[in-house]
Amino acid sequence: MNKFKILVVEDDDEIREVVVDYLQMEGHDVVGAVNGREALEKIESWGVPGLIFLDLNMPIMAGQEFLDLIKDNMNYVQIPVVVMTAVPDSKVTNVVAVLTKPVDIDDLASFATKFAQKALLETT
Amino acid sequence: MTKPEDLLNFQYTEGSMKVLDLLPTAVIYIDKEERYLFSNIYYETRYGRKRESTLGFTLRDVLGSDRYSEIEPHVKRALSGERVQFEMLIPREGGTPENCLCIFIPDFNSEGVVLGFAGLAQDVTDYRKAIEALSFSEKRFNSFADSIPQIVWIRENQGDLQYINKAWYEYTGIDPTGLNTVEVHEAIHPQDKDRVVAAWNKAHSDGEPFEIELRLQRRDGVYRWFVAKAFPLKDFPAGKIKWFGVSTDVHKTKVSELRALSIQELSASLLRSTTKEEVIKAIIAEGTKALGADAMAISWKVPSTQYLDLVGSLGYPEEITMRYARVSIDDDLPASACVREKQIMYYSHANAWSSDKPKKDLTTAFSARANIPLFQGDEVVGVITFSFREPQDFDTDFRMSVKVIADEFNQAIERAYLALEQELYAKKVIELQMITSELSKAKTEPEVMNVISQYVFTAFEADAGILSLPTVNNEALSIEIFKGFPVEFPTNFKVTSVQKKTVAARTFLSGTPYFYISPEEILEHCPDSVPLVNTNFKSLACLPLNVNHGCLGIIFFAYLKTRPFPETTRNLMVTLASYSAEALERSRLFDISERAVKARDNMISISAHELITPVSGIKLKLQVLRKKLEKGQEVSKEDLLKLTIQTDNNLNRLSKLVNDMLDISRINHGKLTLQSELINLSQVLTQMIDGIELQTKTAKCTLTYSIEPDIYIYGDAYRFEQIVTNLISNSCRYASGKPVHLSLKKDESQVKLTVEDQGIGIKKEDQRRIFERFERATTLNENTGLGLGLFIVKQIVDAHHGRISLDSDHQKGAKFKISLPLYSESL
Repeated sequence: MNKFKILVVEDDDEIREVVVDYLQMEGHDVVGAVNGREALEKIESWGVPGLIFLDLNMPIMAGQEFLDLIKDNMNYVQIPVVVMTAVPDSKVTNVVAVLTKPVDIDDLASFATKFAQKALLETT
Repeated sequence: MTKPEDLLNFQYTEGSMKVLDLLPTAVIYIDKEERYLFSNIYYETRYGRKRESTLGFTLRDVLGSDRYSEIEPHVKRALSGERVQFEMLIPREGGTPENCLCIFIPDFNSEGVVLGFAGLAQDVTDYRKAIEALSFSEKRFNSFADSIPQIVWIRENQGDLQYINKAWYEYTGIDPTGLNTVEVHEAIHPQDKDRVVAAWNKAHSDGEPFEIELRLQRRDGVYRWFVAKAFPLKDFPAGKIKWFGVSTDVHKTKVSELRALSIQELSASLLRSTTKEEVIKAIIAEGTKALGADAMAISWKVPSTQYLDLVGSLGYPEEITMRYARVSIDDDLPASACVREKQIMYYSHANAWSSDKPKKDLTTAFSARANIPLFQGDEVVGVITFSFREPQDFDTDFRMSVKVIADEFNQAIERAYLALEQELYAKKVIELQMITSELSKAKTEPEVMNVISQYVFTAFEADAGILSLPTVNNEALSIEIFKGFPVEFPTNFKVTSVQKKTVAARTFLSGTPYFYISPEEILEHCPDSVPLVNTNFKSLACLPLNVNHGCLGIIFFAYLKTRPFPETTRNLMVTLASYSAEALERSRLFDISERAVKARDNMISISAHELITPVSGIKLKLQVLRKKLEKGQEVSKEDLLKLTIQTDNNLNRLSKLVNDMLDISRINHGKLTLQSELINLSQVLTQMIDGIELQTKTAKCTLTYSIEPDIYIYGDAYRFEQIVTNLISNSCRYASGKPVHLSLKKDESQVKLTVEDQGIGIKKEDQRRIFERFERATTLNENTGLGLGLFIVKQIVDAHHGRISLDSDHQKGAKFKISLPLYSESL
């Protein structure tokens, strides 16, 4: 059985590493990306994830730009996105949730579990 | 031959004889033989000739040869059948001869043959005396009447004139011989004739004296006012009334009275008139009456042309008003001459102004005229023409009246203009209020510029407008917006040095408004403004955009036609310019505050991000550790050590951020206080080197340094540590992995502290900005930090009266140089 794919997009190394590690520990197939552009590359090379955790404030390509791009793309528009940000911005739409930093690891884990189960239901 | 006895029986009855004897007139009858056949008692007694000595005797016998020869021709004529009448002296019985009227009446028989004649003699001495006396009195009257200036006349009933004195002829030039009343009436003014006839008729029927005012035409055609008085003289036979009349010239008094009245009315009308049109209407309604003119016209000068346009007239036939609807000042016409001469012109008759050549105007019925110039200031703006059908004297009195009317009219016009000006002023003020409100609504500089271009440039009917702002360092003025100029002008003269003698530069440098009415005036004061004059601008108003700290620029209004700038207009222009300046200033402050707000919002966002990020990392790690511990999972010592180090670093990061923010807060409130004392800056830096090396090592930078020993300054050591830390961490951030050099040295007066890296450098356009609050040379996301570091550095340097500069280029590293005053004993 294929593991549930999760992409973590976060420029802060510490946060990204701890989130990736923990979700992997939880049994998911998780990769990290340091900015939006790397995230797009990951989606193309690694495959379409079932869930994306997305930071907004990032260099090179910020979260909002990345979000706009995948929502414009027929193939990626369905991917659920959970935003993590220090400064909540009302302009962020088309996402599952906006979590305000500092986030709880349990919240991230429960979103992962929920969407993994949902994906499992849909495939069977 | 008839016998004497027969004669005694002369066929008169006794009765008739008695009647003849009673008559107070001598009566005789002489037959054809010239013999007395009869004489009455009066004849007998008056002339002493008894009947006995006369009857039957011939005239020659009775009178004697001498006396007979006197009457013989009369006798012969009477006997030839002719009635004869003559006067002669007849000696009285014992008295003086008396003057007698003698009448011989021939006596015919039924066949018409003369039988003799009756002779009558009547003493007319008294009558003659009376006649002589009358004749003398008449002569005396005539000479008296002729010597007085009044016209004296006598007429009988309504009949012919019996007498009129010399004054009549002298005045009218009409020969009085054989004059009848109708002809006399020819001299009366047509307008007065009916009235005079009516008055006469009434006087005749009432038999009462009368008095009437009328105009009589002088021999040269001038009408003058007279008072005619007539008295009836009734001492004449029944049914006959003689009228004795005197006509006195009262022209002067009468005309002054009339004029005084009319001028009063005119003045009242003029006073009531508030507009130029009303003033013209008033003078046309009352003017002719006031001066006794038959027609009048007002022409107005068309501004900045040579034309006079007819704006109103009264009493002229249409062909005249059509023909003179527009004339030129140069025309050979009275009105034109008046404008040229700038004074009242009088022409007492048509030839007075056209002696040398025939004038078209002569075809009209008008003769004399007076032309009055109308002034506005010193300039003639119009002319009033009064025309008279008859020649005029234009005496002093008349000229005085004309002057009064001219003055009153000019004053009325002036009042009207003033009223108009006030009205226009009020309108202008309202318009300016609208523009001011637009200006106050404009937030940003482009919005203000738009209002100026759209409303301000056109507010004073200018043909063109320019707004120029100074370039950096106020060295030149640059045209920012313009309207109404040919495109090449703002292109060719976009930037002009303030050193040039231009209108704009003069205004900008002095901060005072300038108003130039003519091109000559512009060039006299501003010789470098030739291009403006060459663009055909005649008048200019150039206004400074003054605000309390100086002049922001200039605005000017240009006019293609010469235009005076009255005081009120000048004030309004200055006011509008100052409103424009305020709006401009406000928009700039608005821009600054907008940017400040934006920067602050940015700062909040960055601070949140910067502060939350380290907290987030630690929190997640601690949560994971806790889960592991709760689940009884193994946690390695390395993991724990790593976690504590990371936590420590993150807390340091947080502390640093918080301190920076506190500093900013202090600077914001002006509380960046220095604990200044004499410090050995070399020593302060040397002590920091270990810490700095640790910092650069983390960023993989190689630190080199050269510190000259014992450099003293007066300052705050802690703040200098802050400066160095901030500059080094700035280099570490932007020049990761590259060498960083720190140096401290001095010259005779300055201390120089330099931090140099070989990092990404700072673009020229960003170099000024980076010392400002919340600013960073790079975009937000590429590098962390609040962007406060350099701002804080600059504030500290400023507080130490030092200067910071940057020598850098994109991708070529950055060199921050700080110079500070060197501490010297003498300070």
